[in-house]
Amino acid sequence: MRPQAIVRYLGLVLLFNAFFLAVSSIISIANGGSAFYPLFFSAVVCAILGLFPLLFVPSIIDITNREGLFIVVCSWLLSCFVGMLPYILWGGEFTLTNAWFESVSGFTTTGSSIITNVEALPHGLLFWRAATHWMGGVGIIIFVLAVIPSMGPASLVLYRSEVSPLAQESFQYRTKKTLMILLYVYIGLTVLETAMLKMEGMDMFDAVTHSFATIATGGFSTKNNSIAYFSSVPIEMTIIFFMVLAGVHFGMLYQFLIEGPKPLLDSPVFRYYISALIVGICLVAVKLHGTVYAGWGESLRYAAFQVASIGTSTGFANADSSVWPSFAQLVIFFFTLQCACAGSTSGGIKVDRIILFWKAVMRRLMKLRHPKAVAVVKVGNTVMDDEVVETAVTFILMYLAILFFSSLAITFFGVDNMTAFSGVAATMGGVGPGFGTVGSLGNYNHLPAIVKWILTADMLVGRLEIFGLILFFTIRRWN
Amino acid sequence: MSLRLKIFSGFLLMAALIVVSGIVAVKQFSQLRICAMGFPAGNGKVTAAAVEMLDAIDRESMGILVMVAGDIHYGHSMLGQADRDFNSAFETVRRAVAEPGAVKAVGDINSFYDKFKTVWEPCLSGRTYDGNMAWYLDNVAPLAGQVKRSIKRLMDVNRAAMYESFVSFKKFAERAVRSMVVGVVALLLFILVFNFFINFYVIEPICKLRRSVEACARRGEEFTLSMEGRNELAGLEGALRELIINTKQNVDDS
Repeated sequence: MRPQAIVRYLGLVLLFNAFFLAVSSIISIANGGSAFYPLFFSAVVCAILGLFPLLFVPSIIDITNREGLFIVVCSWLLSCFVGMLPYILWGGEFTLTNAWFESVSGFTTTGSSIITNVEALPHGLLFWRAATHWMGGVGIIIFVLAVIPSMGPASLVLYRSEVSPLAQESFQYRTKKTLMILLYVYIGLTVLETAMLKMEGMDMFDAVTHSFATIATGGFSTKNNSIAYFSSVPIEMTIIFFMVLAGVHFGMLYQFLIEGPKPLLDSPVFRYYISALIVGICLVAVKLHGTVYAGWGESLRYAAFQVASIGTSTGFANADSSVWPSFAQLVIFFFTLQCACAGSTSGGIKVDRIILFWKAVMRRLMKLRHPKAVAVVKVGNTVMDDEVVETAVTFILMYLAILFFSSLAITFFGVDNMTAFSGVAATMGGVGPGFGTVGSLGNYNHLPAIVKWILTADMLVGRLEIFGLILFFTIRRWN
Repeated sequence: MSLRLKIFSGFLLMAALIVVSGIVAVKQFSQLRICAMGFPAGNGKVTAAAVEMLDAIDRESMGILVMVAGDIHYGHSMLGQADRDFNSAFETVRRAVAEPGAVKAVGDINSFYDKFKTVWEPCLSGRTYDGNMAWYLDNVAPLAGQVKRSIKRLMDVNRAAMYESFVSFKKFAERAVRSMVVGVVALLLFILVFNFFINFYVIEPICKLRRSVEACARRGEEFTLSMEGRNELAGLEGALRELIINTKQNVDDS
């Protein structure tokens, strides 16, 4: 591996972070908050450390797969590291652990927070929180690749290292075009949602920050009561619509714009995703009706928002689902594990793998009945490779194993089972709120520092999709 | 870009980092200084003066009691001295307070003390309450209590202001220290990367050049080294290559 190549690409990532820090510091000046110096200083540090390698190291476009993976993983860690600088410099509730938690939660689009009073934070810092979601949503490296005109073959290597293999399968275009599609869809959805939220009565700052958090399926709000603060059905409907859209494969959304609704409606992944959400909403609404809410209207309203929010791994809240009946909580918990489609900004196991898992189960059952039958796994009209199916099943098993061991570790430090299990599932899946003491209107501040470190590790494991992280740690043994 | 320019820009960036870290640290420390200058002296003065006022009120009550007990002369002198002490302490408080809550408390002290004084002032002009404990208990003691309570309210307001000042002081101190730590860590990181680059792009090529020249001079090997880029080291490599070719030609000619 060539350290100079890695340092150069990390420099680009730092410059990208510096740009958003600078924007946040400008917002801080405009609003007269106390966050200007922390943001400005962080921006300068990032800019200088990012600019320096670009001066020394000439452009390197032929990077190896090993270097690509190293750059991607390090860019995540580095972004999380510089992301915590403004929090640390601002002080208040932000100890080193809390700042790291908030930063990792932002970049991995988890949306879990340690802040007890979000509304007390200055605007600049709130914008930076939302910006970390937006940068992390589509992937920092993807953003850098899309913004920088040409990196030659390096783009492909970095793209392959960053985007999950499942998502890559579904993109049928060249790398550069795929990157542009991702960027256009991402920015387009953000602008559209901002405009709609503004029209529905949010102020510009809230509209932008909530759009950042929605399209990135993050969940950081600028209000203590999240979306419940606005108590507005049109705002909730808009956010539901964009959360669901942000959970769809961006390539499919692009195809929808170019070729109309047919490819989208023909996709079994999309059909399953929407059906699962509808079934989930109906089940929760039926359970809430009469037990928590008197009317069907409000049962449906709160069920739809909470299920869509968790089912897309966003994590916004318009009600405290941690006090809902167990059945409703379990339905929501299923979505905490599953989340949305590959190729979107969502986290979790992902719908695509769940489909493959069930298809593999059905094939196994068929093989039991007809041992000599030739059975293949088909998703739509595509016959899936056995390796793809095996990888998906292995991923799910590893995901559940990590979930179990992390929960076990957390309960060792005195956290109750419900909080530990749902907290780990919510952080690994990038969802944000869990149940117990980390419910949709609660936060993670009260947890012991060591638990917060475990949860941030889970966030990174979830965001880098397990295999990426395993490959990173075994990078020296690659052939 | 030439090596000279690269190294110069490296130092320039390092200087920029130091300057910005310095400015931010100075700014944070100046905020800390403003906070520190504001609260301990003012609040400390108010607390000391409030204690003095409470003591003066106690002595005034004592003086009145002495007068009621019949020792007019000693009571007079006690009252006069306590009144002067109270007024001097009150003046200190009046000058020191600025926050609205404290100003209101000072106003209350002033009006209650005036009321209190109107009760016992006739004693100084010769009126006697010899043995009249009922007068003391009904008229003097409640008003003295009112004045003391208003002084305690001022002390509470002052204590709350001190707490707030302490919190801000802690916040600013934390920010100042943290910005310095971040500055130092960033600088160390920068130096580490700078050192890596100097090693990689300057020292290593020089070592390679030396090894190639030595191999050529001692063992007569071909000078095969080729430097990337168009910086000073590439120029040196070209010059050495030319020197070696010329030297070989001269040797062959002779």
